[in-house]
Amino acid sequence: MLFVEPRFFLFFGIVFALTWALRSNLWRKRVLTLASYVFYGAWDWRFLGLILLITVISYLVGVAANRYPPGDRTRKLALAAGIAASLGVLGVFKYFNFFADSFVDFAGLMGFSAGSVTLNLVLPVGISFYTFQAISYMVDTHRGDIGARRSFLDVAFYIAFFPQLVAGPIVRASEFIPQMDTARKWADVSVRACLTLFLIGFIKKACISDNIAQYVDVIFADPSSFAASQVVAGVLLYGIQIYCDFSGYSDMAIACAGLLGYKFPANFDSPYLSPDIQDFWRRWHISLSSWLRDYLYIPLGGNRRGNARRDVNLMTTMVLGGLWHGASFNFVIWGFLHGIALIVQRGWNSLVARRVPAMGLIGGFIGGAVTYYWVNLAWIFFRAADLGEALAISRTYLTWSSSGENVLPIAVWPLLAGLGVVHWLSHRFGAQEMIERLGPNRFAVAYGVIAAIAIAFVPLGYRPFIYFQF
Amino acid sequence: MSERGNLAQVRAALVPTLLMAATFAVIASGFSLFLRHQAPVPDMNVLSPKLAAYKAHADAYDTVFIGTSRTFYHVVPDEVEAAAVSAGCPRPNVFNFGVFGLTGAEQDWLVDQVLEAGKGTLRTVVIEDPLPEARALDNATNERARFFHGPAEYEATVKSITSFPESAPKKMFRLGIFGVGTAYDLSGVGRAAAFFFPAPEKPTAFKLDMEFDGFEILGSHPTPDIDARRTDFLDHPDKFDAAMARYGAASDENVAARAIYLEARLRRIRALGLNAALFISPDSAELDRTPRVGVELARIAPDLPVLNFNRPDAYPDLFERSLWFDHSHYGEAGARALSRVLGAELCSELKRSDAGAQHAIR
Repeated sequence: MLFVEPRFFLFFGIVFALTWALRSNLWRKRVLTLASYVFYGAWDWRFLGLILLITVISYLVGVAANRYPPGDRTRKLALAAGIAASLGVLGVFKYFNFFADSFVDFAGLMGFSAGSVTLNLVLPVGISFYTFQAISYMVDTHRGDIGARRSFLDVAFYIAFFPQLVAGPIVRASEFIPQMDTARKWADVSVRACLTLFLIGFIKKACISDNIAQYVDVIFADPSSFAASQVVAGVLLYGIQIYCDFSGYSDMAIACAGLLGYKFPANFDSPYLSPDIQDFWRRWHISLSSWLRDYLYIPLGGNRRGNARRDVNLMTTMVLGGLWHGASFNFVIWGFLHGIALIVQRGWNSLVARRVPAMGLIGGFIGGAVTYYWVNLAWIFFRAADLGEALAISRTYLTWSSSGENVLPIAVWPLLAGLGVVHWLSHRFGAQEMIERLGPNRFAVAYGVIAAIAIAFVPLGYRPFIYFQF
Repeated sequence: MSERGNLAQVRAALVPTLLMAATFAVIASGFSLFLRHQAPVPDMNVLSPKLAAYKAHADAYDTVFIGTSRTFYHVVPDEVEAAAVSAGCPRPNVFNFGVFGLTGAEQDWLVDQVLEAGKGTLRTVVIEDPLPEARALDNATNERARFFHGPAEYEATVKSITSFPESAPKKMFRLGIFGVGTAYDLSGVGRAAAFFFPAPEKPTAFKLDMEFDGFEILGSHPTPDIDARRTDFLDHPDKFDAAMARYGAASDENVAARAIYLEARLRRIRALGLNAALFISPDSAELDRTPRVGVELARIAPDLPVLNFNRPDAYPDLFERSLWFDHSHYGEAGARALSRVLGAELCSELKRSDAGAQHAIR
């Protein structure tokens, strides 16, 4: 069930009406949890057992945190076991075949013969997201950032809450669980803000991402048949596609949660306008990058143990962040490229930018262009079906040469320029806020006009969100 | 919040909500209709290749059969032509314009296309009683249905649905599906996307082997649906027997409106100086309906030829089970047997009709 499908609108309408019709907070949580399981079961009911298992594990770790004092060995053991079990489930479903195949290949390289063992498993949608949420709950209760819940329903609701269930944002337990304790008030819901955010997310996903996806698909399927300018444009189009797809989903998720009375943190903040790669990661998939920072980078030592160790920690975090997206060396390379960029930027900052003040100014523009170029180079590895294809496209992207002559049936560079200008204007002048601030009747008319035009740009046939596969 | 507070909030939200809905409806439908005007006629399976073939060779055909899958799979032009000659008519040149699932609005549109392209050559148009409207949502929102759910087809569709001899709830259901299909079309969904973001690879255009002037032997191009229908027919002989038993059974479904609907269409063709006839194909699944429509039309318009073959008592040979491919369609042997009778009867009808006499003079 996708946020852009009519059946989701029906589903959400029923859940919305039921939620606000109920006065009891307990009953609202029950309804929303049940609805979330229905939502998840709509993909494949067999996955419900998995999310229930993760919930039970999280709940039990919370029970241990309640029972044993901080520093207690059993409490630590419970946390370690809980995280290991959750990651174990994730590992089996997502990474088993990857590591098994990699081991066989490695053994072959070393001159040994190893029999291949692969499991015929379907990757449960959203497993990476709710596993990380579950870990967030376990760690936050263990650290004492929040009290462990006595109610199993609360844990189930936190992990399964449908707006963020399958593709985030990854909402921290410490951010979300306190919101459960009191009945949400309709008066606190900013309806216009939520509706605007939903419409913006819808336009990003359905009108932009889904339309340009067809061009990205043909270019990545056969890059050598396209002229170099088209291949480069195809790479940049993919950058826009994935941004619009994922941030569009996040916008709609945040809006849906908001309409139900719950606040989610922002997940994107115009990342392609970042002046440097560090800033890019403060603005791209914020919930994952901050999760990785707080639950991986800092526990690894962060930048507290010298520059060399900091760089190792950074690279480890980025490579694991890449691997989080999927079991493929392409994702590892994607993470590696970002790790390299972050390390280089830190070096640049300490060696050049601080000593030459003018570099800060220049860096704003040149740095932004270099960052954008590098981020798109990394996207090639993210999108390509295999390493060979990624290298072939990278070569064209870097050298601007190709033997192919095919061109897309659209004026792709003006399209890219147009999208860039619209994005910049929207960010610069706060289009979202401008619409939100309109009076009720003007808002209604503006909303009706935009929605009516947008719907004509929705291509026929649904494309799943890219991040559902993660 | 108090009950009064809730009510006040609902009232305050009502006007903007209605305003939003009205704005959306006006802008979306206006934009959709504008884009519809810019868009070409979509490529439609069977219909498009047949129309292209007919337009390209309209001067070669003087007789066109327009109808549903029962025209498509039942009318063998060569057999009809040969039988007409045997019955003493000059050899006609027949084009089969059968299209599966043809609705009333589609048939009206096709007749217009044929009349326009066949000017000067066309002598006879034989139409079938079309289907009223899709019953499944998918069939009401696909590209073909969308093309025929434009404002120009509203009247024809409503007339076809309301005149169809079936119960009021069924008519309401069909009207509901038509309403959903129309709303879907007016929403404009996909129109701007197709216009501004053309597909990088054009889909292969539908093709049809025109060797038999539009006729196709059912089962010669198997699909899962066709296979399933065949299997069902073979596995359930009892269904065929039960269908046959329905012939002549009393029914409260009023056929008068349908006869009037068909008469209007036939007279319109006749007014252009052409021969017009209604073809009612054998169809075991419709034995309780279409034969009565034919009888009623013959009663109210005795001057109009009605080729009513869905009558087991009059044409027992056409209801041999071995001739049938599924519960509603013939296989090749059945199609050829029917076409021979059809050619002879068409000839006989044309001999006695006024329009035929006019053509004889012309």
